[in-house]
Amino acid sequence: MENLERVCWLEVELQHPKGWSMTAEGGGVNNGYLKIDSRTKTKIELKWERLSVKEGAKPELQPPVLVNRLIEEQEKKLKKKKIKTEILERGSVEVCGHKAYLIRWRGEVEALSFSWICREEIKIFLANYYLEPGEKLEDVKNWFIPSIICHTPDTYWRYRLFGVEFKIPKEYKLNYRKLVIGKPLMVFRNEATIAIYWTYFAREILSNYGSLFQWSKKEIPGEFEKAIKGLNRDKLKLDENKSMMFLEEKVHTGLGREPLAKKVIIWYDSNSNKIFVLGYLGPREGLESLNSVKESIVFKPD
Amino acid sequence: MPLFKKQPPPTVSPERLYRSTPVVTPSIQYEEDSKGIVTILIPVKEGDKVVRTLKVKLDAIGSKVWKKIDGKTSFNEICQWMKNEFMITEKEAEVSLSMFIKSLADKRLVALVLPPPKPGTAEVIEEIERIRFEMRELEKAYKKRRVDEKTYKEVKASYEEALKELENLEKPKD
Repeated sequence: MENLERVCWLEVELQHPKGWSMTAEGGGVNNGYLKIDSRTKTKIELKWERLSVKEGAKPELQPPVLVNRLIEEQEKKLKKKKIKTEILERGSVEVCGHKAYLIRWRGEVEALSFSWICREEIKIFLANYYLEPGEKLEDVKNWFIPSIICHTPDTYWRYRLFGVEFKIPKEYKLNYRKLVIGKPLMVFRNEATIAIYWTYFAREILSNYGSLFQWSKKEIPGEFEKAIKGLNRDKLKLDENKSMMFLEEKVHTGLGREPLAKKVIIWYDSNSNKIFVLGYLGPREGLESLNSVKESIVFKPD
Repeated sequence: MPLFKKQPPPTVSPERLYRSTPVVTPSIQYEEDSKGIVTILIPVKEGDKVVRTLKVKLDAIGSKVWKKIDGKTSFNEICQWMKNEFMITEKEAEVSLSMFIKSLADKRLVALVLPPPKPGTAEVIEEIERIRFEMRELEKAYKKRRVDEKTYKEVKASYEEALKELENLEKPKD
């Protein structure tokens, strides 16, 4: 559908109508949470948790338990406001090839809560969809539920923020982020670190600074530098096409230890009017993952 | 921690903000250099006489957006223009523009002309609260002699009239 927009965040993909936006998110390593609001109301909440399950055993936490627990909590909260909670329907629905346990209920508003276990990723999910008066349940079942992706056969997770989409190798987890409008910073970690930062209004900002080098002297956030344990700007080299700068060095971490590789790439992308900064710190053999992230960056505005 | 926190001004719903039109305060002028950079000229008055002019220089982005604030182009239209001009998303345009307009409005350089509230909706209550807040601010300014008596009476009367109209809109129609 043309009026829908895709969210790719924290190892989950889903779609929502244009004009809605992600207003809260959290977690990244062992759990994840995201909230999507329309211009006036909360519409979608989704959270997941990694399960520790022995092979062949059934996970302790089961979807019906999770959904019923959620409704009980809501019941308690709403009781204080003297609002009665009512169960309208119990059933099941398929989410990304998994059977999800579903309850349609009414508290302050009508809502759809469903939970499922993703065996491929060994995670348990819980999703809430808050209906508005006049909104048809069947429509939501048609466009929202089938759009949820909790696992893929790919080796990467897709991330999408402010129209910028990129792919992060699955072994990396979102460890730190500062999601400032137009200037987000994200740090992904496994045994190595990948940091990504970009800024909008690049053309206008660069006209002010005169060059990418001058810009990099002042505008790369401290958190980015911290993530890759420092950035020596004097070692930045200018690429032939002059719209890219890079740095590659060895970082010694102690006697008898293999030195780590550090790589930073800074470039201006005229197609998206953005300056991107990508950094890597980790074992030399992992450097390729930085290039694959760089290659995957695309700008797809809504 | 202060015992009595200063009450923030009532907010405007995003929906209504989107339909509003920003306008430059009539006494404000601006000049533009060869690179298109805008300098806002703010007259400082003592009584009726302009004693000096304050200058506020905008950056390249602010200058481009400032020139779009012509009193005819709506917030939504400026957002759409920003999306294409700077290659940003709608959300980025909305947030950046509302922050820019807020910073200008705080300095009284720009005002937002809000569309009339939709009868029978929360917008009416929101507008009543906003006008009451403005009335309190006017009262304070008058007591501190920052507004002369004639202006105070005129503005107060227009606020009271607007309030009456809004209170009628709030009542459910038979």
